[in-house]
Amino acid sequence: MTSALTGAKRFLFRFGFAYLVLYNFPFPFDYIPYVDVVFTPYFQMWKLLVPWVGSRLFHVDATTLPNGSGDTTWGYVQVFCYLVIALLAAAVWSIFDRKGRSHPRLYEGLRIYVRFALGATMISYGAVKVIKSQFPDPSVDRLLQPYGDASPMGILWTFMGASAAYNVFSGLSEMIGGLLLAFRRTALLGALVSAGVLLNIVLLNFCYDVPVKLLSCHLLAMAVFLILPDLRRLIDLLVLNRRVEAAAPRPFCTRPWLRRGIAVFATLAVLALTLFHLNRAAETSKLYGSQAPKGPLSGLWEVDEMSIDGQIRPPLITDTERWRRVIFGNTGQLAVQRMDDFRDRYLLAIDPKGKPGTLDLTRRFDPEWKTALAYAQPKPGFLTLQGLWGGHRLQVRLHRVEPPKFLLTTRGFHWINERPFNR
Amino acid sequence: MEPSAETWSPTRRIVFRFVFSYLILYNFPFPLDAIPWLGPILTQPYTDLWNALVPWVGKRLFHLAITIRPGGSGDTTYNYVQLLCYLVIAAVAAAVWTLLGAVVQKRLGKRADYGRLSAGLRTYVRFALGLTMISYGASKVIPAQFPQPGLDQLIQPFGEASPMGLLWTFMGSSASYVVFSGLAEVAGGLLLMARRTALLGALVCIAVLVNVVMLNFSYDVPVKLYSSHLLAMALFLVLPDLRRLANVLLLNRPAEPAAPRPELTAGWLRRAAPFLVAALAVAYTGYALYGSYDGSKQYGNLAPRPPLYGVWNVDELEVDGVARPPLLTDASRWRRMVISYPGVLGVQRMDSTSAYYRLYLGKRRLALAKFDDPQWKPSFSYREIAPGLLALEGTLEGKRTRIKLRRTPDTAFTLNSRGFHWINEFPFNH
Repeated sequence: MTSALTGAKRFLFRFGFAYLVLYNFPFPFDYIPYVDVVFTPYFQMWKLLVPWVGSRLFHVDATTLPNGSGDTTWGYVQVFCYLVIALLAAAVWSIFDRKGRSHPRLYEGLRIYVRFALGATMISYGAVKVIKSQFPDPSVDRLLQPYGDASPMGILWTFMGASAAYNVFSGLSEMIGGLLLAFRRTALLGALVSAGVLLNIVLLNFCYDVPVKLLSCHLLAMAVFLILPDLRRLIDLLVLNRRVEAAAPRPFCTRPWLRRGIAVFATLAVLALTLFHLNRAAETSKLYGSQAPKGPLSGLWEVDEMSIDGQIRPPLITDTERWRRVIFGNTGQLAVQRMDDFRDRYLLAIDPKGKPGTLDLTRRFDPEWKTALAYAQPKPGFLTLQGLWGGHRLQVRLHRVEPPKFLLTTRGFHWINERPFNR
Repeated sequence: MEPSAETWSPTRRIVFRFVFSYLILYNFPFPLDAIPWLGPILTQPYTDLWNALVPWVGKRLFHLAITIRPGGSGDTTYNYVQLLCYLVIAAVAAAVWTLLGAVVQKRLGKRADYGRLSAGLRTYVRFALGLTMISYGASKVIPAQFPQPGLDQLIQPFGEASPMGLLWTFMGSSASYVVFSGLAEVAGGLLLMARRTALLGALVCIAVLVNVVMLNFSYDVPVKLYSSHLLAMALFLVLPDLRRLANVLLLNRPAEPAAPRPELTAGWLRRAAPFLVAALAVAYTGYALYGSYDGSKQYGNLAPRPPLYGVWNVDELEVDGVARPPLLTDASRWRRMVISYPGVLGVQRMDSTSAYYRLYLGKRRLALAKFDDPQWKPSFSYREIAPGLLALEGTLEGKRTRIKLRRTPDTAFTLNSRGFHWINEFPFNH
């Protein structure tokens, strides 16, 4: 009974080891510049394997690679592959290693690996909030969009984007969790903070249709994995009010000089990683944030007249083809608000090479849908567009308007509210 | 280990006297106010006292005319002045207590037992905080605090919302997230009820309350004072165990069990206390959940929908026989009619401005009135031509008006209809 139990436990460990390494690989090599070239064949392998497994086993088309979404069919099939490979690895391992050894050092090594993999992710997610770039300030086209037209993910993004202070707070709690994980002494606290933060994130992702469910669940599971061995100590401390011993030293390596060396290296690595992520967030924010350089057409344009196939379309709000407003956002972004308030977004290139006076447009997440419009500015503050749009000839005259003073972005902070300003 | 109350330094005694006075003042008349139904009656004289004192202090000290009482907002001028009164009274109480204490000590030759008093204060704060967490949690577990977005919200642009409005609509749009937030609060509150689990409960409350405080400060929610106090109370409860927590979680040192705290009760009461507390916790949770259910039935997701509930698009409008097409340039033309609450009709015009009217709905007639101008009383006959199609005929601003409206189904709104998706090939961040 006992040997069967330890046998099962050992199998479980081997499976967990294989799965966690597979899931996080090629961390930490993906942080080392230029080394990623070595892993290109590894990714190529997955790009061949996943669609093959998808079509053979599940008859699904798993060809859309993870993009902004991590919950693609591809993502699920890959997780399935991880599970199968980890099971096979654990089985083979158990067949060849029957001496009944346990793996204390390997276990300790795995814990260190998971600590750093989780910690690095928490720091990276924290950095893009502390320096606001994951949730940018709501754009003009967003501010003009009615709630009901937004998706649940859209409302979460707008909610987060609307407060810089709340971003900094959320980001700091993630970063603190990540940084505490880096040091063995504070790792338990780091795992607890991370688990608390991640539980909230997992729930946000499930409740607001955010396609980071797989990743956030894995991160939460990793935090719980790190807490598990200390669960009894935590219960003794928090509930049973018993004496709690210091955690037994779990040396990964015993030589003092090596241990000290590793500690110094780890500290420097975490510091470098934090700075790297903060710097990258600052660059993203500079490119896409509210301080981003504005293009020459940037701003809010109201449609004065629009004709489709030579037919002038009056501004009827029932006309779902006519445009109401065009918003040139930060570099590379254009949004169209139709007469029925629907908001459509495009990737934009102004004056692309060899085509001056042209706007090249691609619909977001629909790379097949492309068009080129000729634009002209007859006088300052006026704009004309013409070209083909979904097979129809389009002519649009617009004039620039100052965006309204939005309540959401101008309300500000108030110590005193005689009445709740809930509007 | 926590020094026992007999060895407290004089400074610590003075700080304790102040904190004791302040926390009791801040939470009083708890637990009287938590008594179902009777609470408001019992506490009315005490409320009246403050209602007299606060405006007086405001006027005398700050030349403020305080007329607005705390209601939906807990960050009124009234609250800030009251807070100042609490601080001053607590400081005076601590000073008087210190003087009297010195006299008594000289007379009797022994010090007062702060151990029991401290334990009593902790118990008081535990219950005050715990019941508040349970009641806030209950109003989320059965969504009443954050109802699903109203119809007028669904047609409101983000930019016209206030930060608090955005937070409310964000929360309201996911019932499951609201339930999760509520469960976290109820769990924190229930854990606070038992002495054994109180430390864990206080830690859960701190995690939840830090987030609530940050939301209140970041989204202009006028519960800043109250939520900050609740957070401070949770921190106060953790304070004696801070060293033990740091030993285990930061320093990796052994931690001794906390010193036994003085018992507040003896005899049969001591034996019965756990059962009494458990019964109280269960009863209060049930009461809070029932209150939330009741609120939801009256104003929230479970409220009965009024007749003609919906967002009605004005498809056709005819004034004195002349058709007014839905042109954006026709600023004053009605664009939509919204009926989401009984007795209220919202009108959104083509230029996106809106107006609200009192609505009187008969079997075949529909009459409106302005809230501030009872003379303005247009009236229409109405009939549902087909499900979701409505025809109005009557006189508006002295002109014969015929309106044809079409209901936008609730599911036509992306926010309502998107639903849950395990797989998203692309993020649907619309």
